[in-house]
Amino acid sequence: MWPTATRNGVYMSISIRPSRIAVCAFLAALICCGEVQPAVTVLWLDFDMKNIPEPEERSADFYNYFFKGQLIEHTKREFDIPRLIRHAVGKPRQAPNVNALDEVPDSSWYTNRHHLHTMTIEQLVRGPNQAVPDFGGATITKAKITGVTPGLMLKDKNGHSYLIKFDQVSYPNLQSGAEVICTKILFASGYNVPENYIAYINPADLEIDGKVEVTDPSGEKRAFTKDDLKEMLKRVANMPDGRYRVMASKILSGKPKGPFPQAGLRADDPNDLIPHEHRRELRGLRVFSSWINHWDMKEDQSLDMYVEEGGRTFLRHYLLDFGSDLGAGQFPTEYSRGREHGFDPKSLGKEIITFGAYVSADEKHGITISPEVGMFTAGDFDPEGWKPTYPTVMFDNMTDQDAFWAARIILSFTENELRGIVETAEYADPKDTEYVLETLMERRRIIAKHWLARVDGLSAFSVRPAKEGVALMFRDLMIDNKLARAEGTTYTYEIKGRHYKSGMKTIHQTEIVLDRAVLGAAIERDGGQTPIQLTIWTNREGTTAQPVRIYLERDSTVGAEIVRISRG
Amino acid sequence: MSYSKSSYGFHFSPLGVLFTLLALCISDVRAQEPAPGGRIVAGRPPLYTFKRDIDPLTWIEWGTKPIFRSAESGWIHKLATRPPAPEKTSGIRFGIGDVGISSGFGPQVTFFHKDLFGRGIDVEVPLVYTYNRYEVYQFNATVPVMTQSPVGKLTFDVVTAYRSRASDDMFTLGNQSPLGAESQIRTVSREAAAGFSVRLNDKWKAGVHEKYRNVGVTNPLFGKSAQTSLRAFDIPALLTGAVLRATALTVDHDTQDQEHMPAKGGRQHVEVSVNDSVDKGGFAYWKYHLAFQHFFPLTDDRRTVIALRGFAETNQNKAGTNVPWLDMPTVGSWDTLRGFENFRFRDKSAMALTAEYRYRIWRNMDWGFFLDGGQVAPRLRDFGLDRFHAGYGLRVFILPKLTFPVAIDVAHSNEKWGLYVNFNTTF
Repeated sequence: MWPTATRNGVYMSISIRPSRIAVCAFLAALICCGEVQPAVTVLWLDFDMKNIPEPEERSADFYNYFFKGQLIEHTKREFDIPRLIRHAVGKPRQAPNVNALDEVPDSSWYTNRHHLHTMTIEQLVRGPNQAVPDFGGATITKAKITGVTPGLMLKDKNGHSYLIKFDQVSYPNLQSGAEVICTKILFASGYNVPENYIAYINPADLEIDGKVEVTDPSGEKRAFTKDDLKEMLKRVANMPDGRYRVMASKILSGKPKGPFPQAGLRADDPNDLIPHEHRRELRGLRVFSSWINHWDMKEDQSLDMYVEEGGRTFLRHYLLDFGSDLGAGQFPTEYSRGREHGFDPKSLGKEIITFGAYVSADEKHGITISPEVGMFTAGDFDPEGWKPTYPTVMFDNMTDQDAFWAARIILSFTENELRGIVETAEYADPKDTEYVLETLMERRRIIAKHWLARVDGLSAFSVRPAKEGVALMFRDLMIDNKLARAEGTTYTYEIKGRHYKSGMKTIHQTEIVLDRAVLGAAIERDGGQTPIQLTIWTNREGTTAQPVRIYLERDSTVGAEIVRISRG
Repeated sequence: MSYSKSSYGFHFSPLGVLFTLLALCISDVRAQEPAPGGRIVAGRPPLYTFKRDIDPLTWIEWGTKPIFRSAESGWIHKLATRPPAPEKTSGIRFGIGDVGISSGFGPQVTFFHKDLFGRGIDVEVPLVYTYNRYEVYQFNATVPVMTQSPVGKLTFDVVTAYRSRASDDMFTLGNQSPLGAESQIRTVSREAAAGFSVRLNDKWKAGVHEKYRNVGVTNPLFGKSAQTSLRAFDIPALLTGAVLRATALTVDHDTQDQEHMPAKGGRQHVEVSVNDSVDKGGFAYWKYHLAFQHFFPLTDDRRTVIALRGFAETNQNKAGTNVPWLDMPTVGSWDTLRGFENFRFRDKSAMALTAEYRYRIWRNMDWGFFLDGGQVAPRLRDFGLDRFHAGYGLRVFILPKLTFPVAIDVAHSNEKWGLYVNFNTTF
């Protein structure tokens, strides 16, 4: 018992029992050291596609994406004591859906595509699209004539339904261009997205289903007519030959079950085991979103579809609506998009404290590059400071490891591949194609520089037999992308078994040769029971990154195989 | 969660907190254990749903859900987004109204006809009853006399009203009236006025009206009766009320850029009236009243504005007569001097000034700092710089629409803290 302070002139004392100190210490140690370990096996498919009963449809509304998503979930997060302790000691909770090689296995959320299984340019250009829609003789099955942009639902001759979105009359190709580019980038990155096509329709070829009704501005419902169509099309961009270029989004197969919650689990989906705010592909989506300026990340922009595949019915999780990405929208994106939350307390605080002298992003006006591009720039792009309009806990939970994973995927796109994707926007002005490509490349470079440096930049580990034993090879993405100098970079490594530890060695090349003597010593002393741990520290220009640990096991063909990779 | 009761009330036992935290942390760390087989994890994180469900924020979320849902797609939404009714010539309007300072708000029903007898006569009958039991039932009629007179549009106006102010604060008269003298009083007025108004152009308006007021005073519907506690102070008409007749000349000038959240221009109002007792009350006095508000934009985009507001009034009684308390100006309210009780200072003359610096901090929110000063005196020459009572504070304007600002003011003075919420404010 120690006298510590006085209050009202009376001595107070604080009594701390040793048992409580022990509990505190245990608590802190548990939080700091009790990392979620990656799965011990290299799992490439997290099989969350088992049969489930049909879930209820979740509503997509302001309550969910603003009040619950932004206010409640964020406040909960701010008062999450284990998280705060982890944060204080620099041990944030890592995503649990990562396999032993620090990759995200395939699931109903995500499919490894370009990053691990290089897609051809043709595949990248095709994206999720299966067949080009033919709208000759298509039937209008729904119509929306009010609002800034009208819309149609068309059924083509094959019986497929498409949601038709038009470009604004003053901004031809703006929204549709952004939508197809981002659809293909996100698809190749591994996400589930709808089939989005640039299509051309001739109003004369369209028929109107007799059941189509519209609500006119006075709120009255009535039958949709050819005159309505004509009036509607006056407000949208058209082509000199009288046709209309549109963005046709194929209706997803299955039954829509509403957006997935950005925090928590779907109680009615037994396959849903990992809280969404901890899924790596959703956390890492922040990096992709910043790259393509996918600022509109409210829940409505996602959709769970109750699908039937392989005789099983389950939920597949989609991302939707990329027409506001890059610098696009019905009109060029406002400057604040991606730079400030829609309701940004920090910005408000700065305004208040500076008596209005602080000029927030909300007050600034950007430059419209061109009517097709809108307002998409790289010069002032800040990967860490990028903000979606509606903040989301899953983005806030992103760790350096999640960002590194996403950055690696982004770096898997070459300039030529990106060019192929950007060209699918079919911009009228080739300069716009070039501009969008250059901006994407520059933002990609900025992302890589920022996020790779936060971890180690080492990737693509592989093992091959060598004359002396085995060689572990890897790529240094910082050097490959000219973000660091090879001359100024060295790698220090150490081999460790349960009862063996080598000395530290430093090399310049991205290949570590493990001679038989060392390998043998490490394995034999362990009795071959536990993997050998190879720890690599990357030293650049006088600084050393956090190490990456490679775990190797004896392999009869190559000599050793990688069974686990651990970063941080 | 364990707790124990002490003489200070409930407090959490540190050990209980520690063990609860321990349980939560263990569940946090043990969450998502690797699983053999087809899944990357064996199951949902232990206690995950429980932890979310016991969080008080979750309860807030559940509790407010029906309101949000209704505001988004239910009856609140329908009410808020119903298309504006086509401009009707006659009918009934339903809304929310108030009856001035202290009244609170309540349902307002307004019967109206904009073209009575096909002669352009505009009739309105607003009826308001607030949650504080303040009432007003009024009849307004405007009869066009000349639409193209040499001086502008000339109308003949008729107003009759019944007002019941359930419980207004009352103090003694004077600039140093003690706070401890606070009591309440109820007034019940029957009013009638008739006169002419002329709109000279879109900026200038003038009028001359003859008014009759019969104001009764009685015990308040709630609070301590001023008629009892202030009886000794010899406040004119405190016990009797007054029946008054007045002839008033008014001039209004309006150059504001908009009705709500103005950033430029201003309004001025001047009124001169001669008032007399109709009965034997012995009241006869001249009233001079000046009020203004003005806005100075500091930036071209008008996001930063200096706003000024003020009023001055003096009542000069004729020899041997007096001014009834109920017609004396007061200082102390959201629109005169914030940070003081309503009607805090009252005398035959009064003045108040407000300076406000406001700036936009978000597209739907303005922030401001204000300084209010006010004083009362028996005569104009008694005003002095050292007599000002001062209040200061900050304002937040929430702008669901630019035409519907909601102002929340937090004010402080040497007497109290005050919180004021104003819907659809014009300053």
